Amino acid sequence: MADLGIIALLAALVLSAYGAVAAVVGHRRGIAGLRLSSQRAVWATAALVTLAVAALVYAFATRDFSIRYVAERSSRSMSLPLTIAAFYSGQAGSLLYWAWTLALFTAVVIWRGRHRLPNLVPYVTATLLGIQAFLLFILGFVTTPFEQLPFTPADGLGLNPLLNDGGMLLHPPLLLAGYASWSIPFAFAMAALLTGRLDGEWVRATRRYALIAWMILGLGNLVGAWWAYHVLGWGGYWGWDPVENASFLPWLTGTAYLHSVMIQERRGMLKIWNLALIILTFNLAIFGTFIVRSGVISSVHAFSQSAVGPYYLGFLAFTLLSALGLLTYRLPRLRAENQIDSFLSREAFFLLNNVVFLGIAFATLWGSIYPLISEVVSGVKVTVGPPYYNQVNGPLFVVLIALMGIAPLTPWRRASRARLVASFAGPATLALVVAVGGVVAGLQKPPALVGVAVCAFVVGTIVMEFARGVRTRWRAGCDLLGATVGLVRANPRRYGGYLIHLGVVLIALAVVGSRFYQTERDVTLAPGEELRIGPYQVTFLGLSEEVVPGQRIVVAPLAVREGGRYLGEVSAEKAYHRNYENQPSTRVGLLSGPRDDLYVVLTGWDETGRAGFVVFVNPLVMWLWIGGALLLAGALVAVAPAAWEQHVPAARRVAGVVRSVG
Amino acid sequence: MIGTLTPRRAATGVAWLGVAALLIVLVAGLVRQSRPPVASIRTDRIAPGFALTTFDGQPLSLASLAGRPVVVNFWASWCVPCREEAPALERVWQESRDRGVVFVGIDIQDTEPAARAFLREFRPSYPNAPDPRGEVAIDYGVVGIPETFFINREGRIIRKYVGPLSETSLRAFVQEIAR
Amino acid sequence: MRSGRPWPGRAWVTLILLTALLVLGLVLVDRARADDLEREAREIARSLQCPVCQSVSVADSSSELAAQMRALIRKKLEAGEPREQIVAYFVERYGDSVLTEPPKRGGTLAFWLVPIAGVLAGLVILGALLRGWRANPAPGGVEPAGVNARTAEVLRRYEERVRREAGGPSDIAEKSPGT
Repeated sequence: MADLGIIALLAALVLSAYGAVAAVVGHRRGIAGLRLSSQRAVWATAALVTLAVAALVYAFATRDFSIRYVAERSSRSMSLPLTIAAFYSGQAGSLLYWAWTLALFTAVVIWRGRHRLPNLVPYVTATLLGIQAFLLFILGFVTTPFEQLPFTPADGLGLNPLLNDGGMLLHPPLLLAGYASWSIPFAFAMAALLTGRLDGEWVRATRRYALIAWMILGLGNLVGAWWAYHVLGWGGYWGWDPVENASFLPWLTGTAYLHSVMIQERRGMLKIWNLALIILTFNLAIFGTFIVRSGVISSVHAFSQSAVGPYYLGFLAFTLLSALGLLTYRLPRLRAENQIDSFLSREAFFLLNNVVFLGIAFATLWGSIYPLISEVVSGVKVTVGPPYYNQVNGPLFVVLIALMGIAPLTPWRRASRARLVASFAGPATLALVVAVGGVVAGLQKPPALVGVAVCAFVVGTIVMEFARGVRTRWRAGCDLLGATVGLVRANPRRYGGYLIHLGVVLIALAVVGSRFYQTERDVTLAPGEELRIGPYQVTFLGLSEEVVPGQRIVVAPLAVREGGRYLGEVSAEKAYHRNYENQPSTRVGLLSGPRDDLYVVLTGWDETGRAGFVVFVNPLVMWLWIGGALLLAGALVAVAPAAWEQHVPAARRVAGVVRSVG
Repeated sequence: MIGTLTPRRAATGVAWLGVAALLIVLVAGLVRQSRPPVASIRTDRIAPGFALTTFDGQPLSLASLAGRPVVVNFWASWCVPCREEAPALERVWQESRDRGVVFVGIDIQDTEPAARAFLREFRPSYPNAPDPRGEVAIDYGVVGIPETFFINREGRIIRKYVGPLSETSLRAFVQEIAR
Repeated sequence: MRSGRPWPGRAWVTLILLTALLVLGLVLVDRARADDLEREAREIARSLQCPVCQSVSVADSSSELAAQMRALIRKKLEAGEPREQIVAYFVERYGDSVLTEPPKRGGTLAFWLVPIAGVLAGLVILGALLRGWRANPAPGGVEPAGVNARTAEVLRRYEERVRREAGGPSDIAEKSPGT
């Protein structure tokens, strides 16, 4: 298996390098055969990388411990799904997974575009295969998952206990695929720069790809937050750790791009800016991988420092400098086709949104690398933790959310003051009522109050928009459901966007609730003893121990009551994994509800059976996951083709829709 | 055209500078990584006082050792490097006790049975005391184990050493405070 | 145009929104009351970096040192020490890097100013750009000559129409006398 895998990787390396060259030469010289050959190289690369992945997965599934990578990350006692997931748990495997998703995305993109975009596709092919070749080179020569041990151990070491969890099945694959998928818009941007076809072609071709990349990356981050919340046991879901930040950065710039690109589509403006944003986003994705794998910045996630660091840095420098060089070279040809008409226009608000997004990204990057800068420049160690990010990014996020309410309701080009007042009177009143209501009810923390009021404002605008659209259709005779569905179908991008915004508001509310109103108790309880926290009475029922293959688990069940009503039992656990006895993993006892989560962590115990707990009550956290689901739903809606986009000639189709409405 | 500073040119310049700065910092980060951490740090501050009870039940306080050079060694039974340096500590203590040097072992983040087993194994003849709440360790700013502090006759910490001590360096450091 | 079935929406939409937000408010208010000392202890622990961990605060770390530090914080609070003094105690022992946020003074003040300067610079550039754009109207800029001008145009007309029917504001609707 190991031989098959390594041969597949090396063959794929040769083919991708060949394909990259063939695509460009074939296009330049007009050799149709060579162009076709480069496309075949794409399919073949995808097939070969898939074969390598299959070989590695097979090795894991059959517990082939003669392969070092398999022996170091799995053991016989692990369940089959987790054993297979272990394939991307380490450096070489995660790189292989990256390369694999990239190869599949590349194949799909080239397949779909091969006839429609004859001028861009050769350069897209070359860029994507170039990235692929870099990854395959690392996999073949620097860190390979197929290295064999001189002897075959009877059993493997097993997975790092932190990774030994269901989240492992979702978080890394989504995050890595999210990183990889930004290569697609980047490749189109590079193709546009290389060919000089700088009009909207590349933007149109990548609209859906960018949205999908954004969705996968966002989902990867959210699942990561969910995982951290369930596994790390510190009562939170986001710690502003440098590696978390690194995965958040491309999402931020990518979101900025998704907004600013609308201005280019609508008004033919911001061409340079959009190219720059895509270049930045892709390079931040590479930067994220570099941070995780090089150990340059200390982080809970920096698993191991390794030989890959310098190669990654070299690659990052190459893509960053060459893309920037191309952009500079093409600068004179990038001219806006239109101008901004007014400060009070959707364009202007979108630009403001971009400034804020970039501001957050910059502040986050700055906070992540400042300890490094400080140490390199002055030798002084500093720590940049959550308080910095909360103080700097918090207000920026509030502005961003407010813009989320304002911008979509502001017309393109120019808005009259009277019209804005008319649009925002309702939502602003709602926000004011909520704020005053909050003060009266006793919400004392100003940031929380501002946050909730701004969220109310945005919800107001979104509901108003939906209500307005539905009302029109309802008047025309649809029933409410039909009217809503018809509305969304007529312009899925817009209403999908609103759903996403609604999801973001829910997430923001959850963040406000859990950040400002979390309660925590650090207690030691004897069996039968009760703790009162928030609305709950929690009774410790006594310790027990379970042994399952590969693990010894200390279980502390607790009965939960609220005002005398029995709600159920939660079980806080510590699991000791074989070969990792000194790193017990935490299993949080969690009772989740729409109002708050009861979150119990077992911290220790003594011979008398008393146990130490940290107990949290985290308000509104469930809305974070619901908001995430809404985000996903909204993105799926926005990707869907609009009614008017289908293959009927556009004008007739729209006329039809309008008729059906009118 | 050359020489006029348009906003475009300015923005391009800033982008290049930013990229260059980022790459330089990252390269520096990679290079720095390969350097080993500094084990020995010279300091100069008054040693925080402590009052503990040794494993033998005797009171042990820094105040009672005033005017004498003191070596304070933080250890734990589960710490592998502590096992490595334990014989060296005992040997150098035997050599230097006649000159008035005092060695003190402070056991942190440990359980008592494990600590007693450690003491039975290495039989240090200088006093050792547990610090069950870790307050002395925090007062000294201990981060890793083992960590050793060298206090001179005036009660000032002259040197702090992180990691296992070899006999040679231990002897040299004791020399410094015993002067 | 405005005839047809009466629209029941506004009243209940408002009602639902207000109820939802009221519930939210009540939920949060309930949390605001917590034991003062406990909260103070947690806030202090949150402002300190666990010295033996990788980017985890003393409040969130499961390490033994962090647990001992939390206990010490509580003990000091119970003894009546003010927050600043407790934080200063730890900074004196572990250095400025024990703070989860660099102090807003001295050398690290610049650290705080940079992101603020970055955002301000962004706003200034944006303002200058917008002003410049408005000062030199589009060279050949007629209507959306953008990428998918045709679909954009079609869509715009459609939206306009819907808007008009919806009775919602639209800049075109305002200008055209027909409505």
